Amino acid sequence: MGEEQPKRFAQISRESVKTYAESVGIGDLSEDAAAMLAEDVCYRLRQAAQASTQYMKHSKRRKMTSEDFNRALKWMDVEPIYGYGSQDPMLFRTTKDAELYFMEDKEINLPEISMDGKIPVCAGKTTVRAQWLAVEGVQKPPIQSGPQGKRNGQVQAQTLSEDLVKYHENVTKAILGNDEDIMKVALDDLRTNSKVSSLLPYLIQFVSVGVKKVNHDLGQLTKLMHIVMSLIYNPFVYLGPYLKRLVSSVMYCIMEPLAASINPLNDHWTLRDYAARLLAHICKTYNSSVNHLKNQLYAAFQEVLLDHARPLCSHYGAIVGLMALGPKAIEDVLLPQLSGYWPTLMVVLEDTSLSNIQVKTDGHKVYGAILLAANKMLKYKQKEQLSTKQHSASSSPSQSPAQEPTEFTFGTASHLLHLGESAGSLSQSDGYKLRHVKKSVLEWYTELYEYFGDCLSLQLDTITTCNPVYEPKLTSLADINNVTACNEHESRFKGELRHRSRSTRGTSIAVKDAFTLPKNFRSMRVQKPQFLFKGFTVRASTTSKRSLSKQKSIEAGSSSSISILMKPYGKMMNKISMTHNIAVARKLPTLSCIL
Amino acid sequence: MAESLADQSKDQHPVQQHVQRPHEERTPPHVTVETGKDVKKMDKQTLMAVLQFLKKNNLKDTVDILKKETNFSVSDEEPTTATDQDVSSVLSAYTSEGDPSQYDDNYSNVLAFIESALDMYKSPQHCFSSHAAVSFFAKHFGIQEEYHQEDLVKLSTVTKKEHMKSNELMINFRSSKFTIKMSRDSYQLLKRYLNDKQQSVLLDLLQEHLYIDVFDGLPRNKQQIDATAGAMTGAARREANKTKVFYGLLKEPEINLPLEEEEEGAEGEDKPKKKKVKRDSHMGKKNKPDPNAPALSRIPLPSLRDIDKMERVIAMRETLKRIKVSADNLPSICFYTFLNAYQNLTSAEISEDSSMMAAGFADSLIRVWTLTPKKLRAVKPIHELMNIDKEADDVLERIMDERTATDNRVLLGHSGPVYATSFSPDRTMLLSASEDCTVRLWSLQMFVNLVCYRGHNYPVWDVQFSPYGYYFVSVGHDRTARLWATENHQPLRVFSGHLSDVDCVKFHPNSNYIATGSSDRTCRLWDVSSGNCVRILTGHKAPIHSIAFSPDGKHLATAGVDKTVLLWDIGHGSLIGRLVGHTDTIYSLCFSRDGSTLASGGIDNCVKLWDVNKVFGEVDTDEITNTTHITLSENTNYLFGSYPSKSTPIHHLHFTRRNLLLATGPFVI
Repeated sequence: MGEEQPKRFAQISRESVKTYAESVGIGDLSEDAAAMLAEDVCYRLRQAAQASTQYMKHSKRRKMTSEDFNRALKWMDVEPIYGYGSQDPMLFRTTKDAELYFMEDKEINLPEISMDGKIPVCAGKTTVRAQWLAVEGVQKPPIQSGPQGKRNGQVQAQTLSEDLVKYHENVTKAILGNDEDIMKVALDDLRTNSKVSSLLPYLIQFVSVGVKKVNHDLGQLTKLMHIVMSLIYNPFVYLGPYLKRLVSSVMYCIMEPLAASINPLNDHWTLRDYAARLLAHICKTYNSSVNHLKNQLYAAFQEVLLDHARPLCSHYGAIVGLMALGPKAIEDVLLPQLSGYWPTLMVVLEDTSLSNIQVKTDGHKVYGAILLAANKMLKYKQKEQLSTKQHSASSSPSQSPAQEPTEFTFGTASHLLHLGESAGSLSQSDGYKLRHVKKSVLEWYTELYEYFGDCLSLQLDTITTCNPVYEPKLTSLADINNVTACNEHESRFKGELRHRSRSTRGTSIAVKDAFTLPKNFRSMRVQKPQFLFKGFTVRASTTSKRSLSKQKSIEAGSSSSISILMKPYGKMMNKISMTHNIAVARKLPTLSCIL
Repeated sequence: MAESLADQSKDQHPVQQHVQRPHEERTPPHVTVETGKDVKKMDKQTLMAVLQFLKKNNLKDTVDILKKETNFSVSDEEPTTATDQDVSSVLSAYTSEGDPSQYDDNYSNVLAFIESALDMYKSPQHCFSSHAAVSFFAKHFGIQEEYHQEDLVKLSTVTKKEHMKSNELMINFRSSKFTIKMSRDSYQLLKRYLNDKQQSVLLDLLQEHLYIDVFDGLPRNKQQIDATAGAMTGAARREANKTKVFYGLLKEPEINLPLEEEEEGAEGEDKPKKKKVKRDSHMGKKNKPDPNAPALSRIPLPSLRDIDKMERVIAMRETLKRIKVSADNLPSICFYTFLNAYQNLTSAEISEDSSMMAAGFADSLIRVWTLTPKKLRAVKPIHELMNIDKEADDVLERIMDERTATDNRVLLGHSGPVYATSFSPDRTMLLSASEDCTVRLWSLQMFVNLVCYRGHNYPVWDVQFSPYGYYFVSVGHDRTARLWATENHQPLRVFSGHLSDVDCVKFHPNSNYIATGSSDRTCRLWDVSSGNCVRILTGHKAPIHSIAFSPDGKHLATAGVDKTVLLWDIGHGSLIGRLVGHTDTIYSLCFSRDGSTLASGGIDNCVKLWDVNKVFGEVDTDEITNTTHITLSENTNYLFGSYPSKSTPIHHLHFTRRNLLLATGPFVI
């Protein structure tokens, strides 16, 4: 029976003792001596452990620290272990191959820590705060102000009137339910009802818990965002105290790699765009010099962009988030990061292996988003310049609107020259101050041109006349068909669409996505005009796998083979689009751009 | 009877026999003889088995060994399987006895006896061979009362003769006798049996290591035995608690009226007469001589200075505004949370008048906070003090340097965690006890260290100022409590007697006694004037970490690792109440100023309020004559309320003079 006793205490085996002996140069330790030593060491260890509990108890802690043990050693006349104790537990690890167990004790590279620029946060000063634990024997239910507000449910039952509880129940049910009409009513009410404010903590809680719970269901997430929208547009509601939680829920939808994004069929991009716009509105309304909301958001987005290990959808979220926050955000946060971020994106985009398709499509999304952001910024810059320089005659880009897009046939270089002139004339007059403070449009343009090439130049022209707000609208299928049948210059897609439609091979959602594009499609300038097939439009089925392979072959092919490939491809596409009646307008020449 | 006869026929099957025992125990008391027989039978088997075990280990000189446990020789032989079986059969017999039902006194006594006997046995046993020790230990584990388990765990680590010499627990067991209380009947039965059977081994063992405290009267039941058991060396002996304790409060000194009037004038002229009348009636009560109070001159106390008298007047006035705590009128609790303490806070203390708070930290700092709008100010530097008019009325105010006014001050001087702090009654000084073996006295007027008292050889766990100032007492890992006077660098008294660390200490309100709580699971009351131990209170099953005297000095509350609060009557030295409800170690106790409520708190992050008046009321009605028969009503609910904090363990509790409860603790993430 004795042998089967469970080990009550940590034991040190003879082998360990021998190993230690060898490490200090005693090779021939006898078995008996090792056994004796092992036993003695075990006993001493236990004693030290028992003694150290006393120090733990008197420090009124539950957790024993290395300091406690060190003190016990000190008072047992054993040399203590020098250095600073850590509050963090030591990790006990094992190697996979050899049967070796050890304490993980990583070497700390001090120079690296000191050089990486992260200044450790200064530990807070010990302070005392007084509060009432109970007043005349009655303890108030704890009010949770932080994000971990699980107890709110209980509070709700106690403090809300029955009607409000009922209202809350009904509204949440209606919104998450399947009936769209009821949902609309509920959302409308939330937007206009003046008595929502007492329910605010619960609604915010509902959203913040909800986004985490239903992050597999885009529909529900969108509905939750609808609630946020209703609340922020409600003129009777002040969201100040709940801002943190509200923003964190919205940010969650913008940047988190949602469970729904695993499936490429899900269009989580739209949700991110939507949430980004909500965020922008919140920021616009509630940013103050006290809460520094804007700066906090900048920091949060920047952090995501800097972290290249994050999935592309997070980066996309950060970019659209910044874009929504305005040109200033793009200029200050996004574009400075571009030089660091670009190579990572390019690696993704240039990897043509089959396994990379999913990632690559995501990459194109990000590319499109950056492009859009860059354009938006440039446009803003340009406007700014123009407003400061009203009399400038070089306003031709802004006045060559989309009514005559065909006029834009001059080459890239000439356009650049054109812009250069305008910038030059600006600097000659009173642009000194401007240039002194920030980069001029030209500088930005040249910088961005390095990334985007010609995609940018055209955008800059037309963008000035376009509606700057990216307004998604449900467009009927007929519209799209009209558009596709339309004239070439009208059906030009902006750069993003190109990626969007490419990224949605085989997905039906993509169709919807395409529908949500603005009607006034921005015209597209192609780098090599010889590949521009005028009037040639293709309807690409989004469900066809074959189209994928075709497209791949197109990409793989040389520029000369394109024209050959083009015909059967187009025909097939036409056929499919006829039968399925789900079509995405696709302009083939854009393909050639990527080649 | 029939059962018992049947049992006799099954002499050779101890296990079966003892399984039936519980039935037998329910027979009425008049069949004591039969029970006694039974005990004998069982004893015989036990001893036989033990002896057999010893013999098999080639220990012919067992008797000698047991007499002088250091003389044994280490056995060469590994215990055989047969031995193991023997032992297991005997031990399983015990197990069946361990059933928690009503045992009759004989039975429990023998059980206790066997327990202790085995405790004794363990020391030699462990040395025979580690193998035997481990198996022995394992079997033992289930049988022992749970409160001895901690000792057993400690003992079980001892497997070598050499280790025995240095193990504190071993030394304790060898050097002191384990006390067992037994009724006379049981004792006689035991003695007769031992004589009959010539169990010389056991007899010697008994003489050597056990002290049997025989009392007259009815045998106790298991529950009664349990109430007082638990200490490292068994229950307290009866004569240990015989000395008379003057638990009454000292007579309040007459405070001359002129001073009062001055005070009144300063405070407000509107209703001085009313107050005076009230105070007079208050004083009138106190002036009756209390037969239990010690004479004022029993220990020399510092004479009252004007400032002390003023303090007393203020305190008394506050007392008049006091709110009576009762079930309908529970106190409010104000919680002072330490933020950013990072597991560093080791102790916290609030001054008697609730104006200041001191906290000791693991990084050897002491911080003092003011809890009132009055800031902490230091005295002006010397060259400025020279210019002050010493005859001015407000000279005490003038010497303070406004430039130094701040909310908190840091006192730096210790070189180890500060485990306790204590304010002097006049709040001009602060004591601190630290791991660095020293007690330091700090001035709260200059915020410097005045004296460093060296005397303890090991970490000092607790320190407390006498309620009358001048004296203070410190306790520590060296198992002693020391009484000091602030002006002496050597202790005046060393109270030794505890068998393990002394973890906490408190002065009796009359300053004539101190109470110490220890890791040997006893609480002792010491006489300051003679240095003698006047009470040994046993009943805790784990180390004691907190002690509180009731304001009237009659009662004592103790609590600690075993999560229960025990209430004691000091006059009789008996246990009168047990408050169960905490889920982790209790680190703080405090009586309300009117003595009707006890607050307790600990690392279970919960403050609990107990209706101790109810406990005292229940006990006071029936006179306590028989201290051995303690019946605690377990079912009564004494709890007033339970107030959990979010994530803040309670380090210190304090009732203000108006009965507002203050609690402190560090917020732990």
